[in-house]
Amino acid sequence: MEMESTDATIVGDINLLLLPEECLSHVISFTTPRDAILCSAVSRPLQSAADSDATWERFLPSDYSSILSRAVDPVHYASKKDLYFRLCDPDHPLLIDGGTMSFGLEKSSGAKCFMISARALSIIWSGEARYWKWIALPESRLCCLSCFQTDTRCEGPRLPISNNQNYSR
Amino acid sequence: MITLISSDKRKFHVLEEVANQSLTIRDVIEDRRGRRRADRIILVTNINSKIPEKVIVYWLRHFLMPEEIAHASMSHKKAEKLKKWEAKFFDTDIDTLNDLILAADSLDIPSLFDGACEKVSDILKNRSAEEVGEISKIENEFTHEEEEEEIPSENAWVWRNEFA
Repeated sequence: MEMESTDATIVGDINLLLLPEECLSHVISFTTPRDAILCSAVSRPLQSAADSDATWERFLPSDYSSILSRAVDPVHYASKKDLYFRLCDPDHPLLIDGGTMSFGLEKSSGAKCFMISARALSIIWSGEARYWKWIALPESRLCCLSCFQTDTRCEGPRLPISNNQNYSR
Repeated sequence: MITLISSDKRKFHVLEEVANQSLTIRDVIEDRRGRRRADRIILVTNINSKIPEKVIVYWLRHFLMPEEIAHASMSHKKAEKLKKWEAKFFDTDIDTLNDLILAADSLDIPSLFDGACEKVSDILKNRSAEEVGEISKIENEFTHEEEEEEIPSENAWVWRNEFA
């Protein structure tokens, strides 16, 4: 069966509101957090679909519940959108794994960001006071390690980072 | 063979194995298994005849490789070909896309639902506030002052357009 090709593009006269809310939520979930916020803020009819848990669930990383279960303090949230913004707050990263790591999301893409404490790294001679000294910085929630030697190798834990994200920024 | 009847009373004869891609139809067939032939007729009342045609075309294209899709073991070339085919399939007018979404939702065809929703989502991507208002075809009901109040400060990054 051959398909008829059309030159139609989807611009102009569109009435999204013909769709039921659950379908609309699914449509919006294929956009980005920025687009969803705009839909919610600009259009009353799109608002509840754009704010729905179904939409924001897809912006959260697929393993978010397992990451939340590793949190030092339990995370309370009213909706999936609320949780997304809680995890995007750069001033309050989520401490996980007994405080040896912090977790957050990059706001525009939802990419996962981890910050690893020096305690979670395997650093050569880190227990040796001759080479290393553990210090606590008041502005840092994670433990710091000061180094007396510049040529040092260390290994970190394997992280479940997001696919197709550029982390080199 | 299964017979689908659209809201405008057109009949579509489809192989059961092909129609099984609709989870709704699969369940109906399962419930009626072993009964008379007349029970293999399914009324799809909320869908006009243009849409079953499209849905059946979609089914036939996907019927040929359901195992491969399920096991994600499709060759790169085949996957590219299917992707191209889908792009052409969904390149249609918005009314048809809307109807496809409704049909895929009620007949429970997840891949068709995803494909049509993703295509429609293109119209909402990277738009300005005015454009989204236009698209949703509703006069912006918020006055300027209300707008300031309505948008929580946490969302200010959207308005600064820092990710454009």
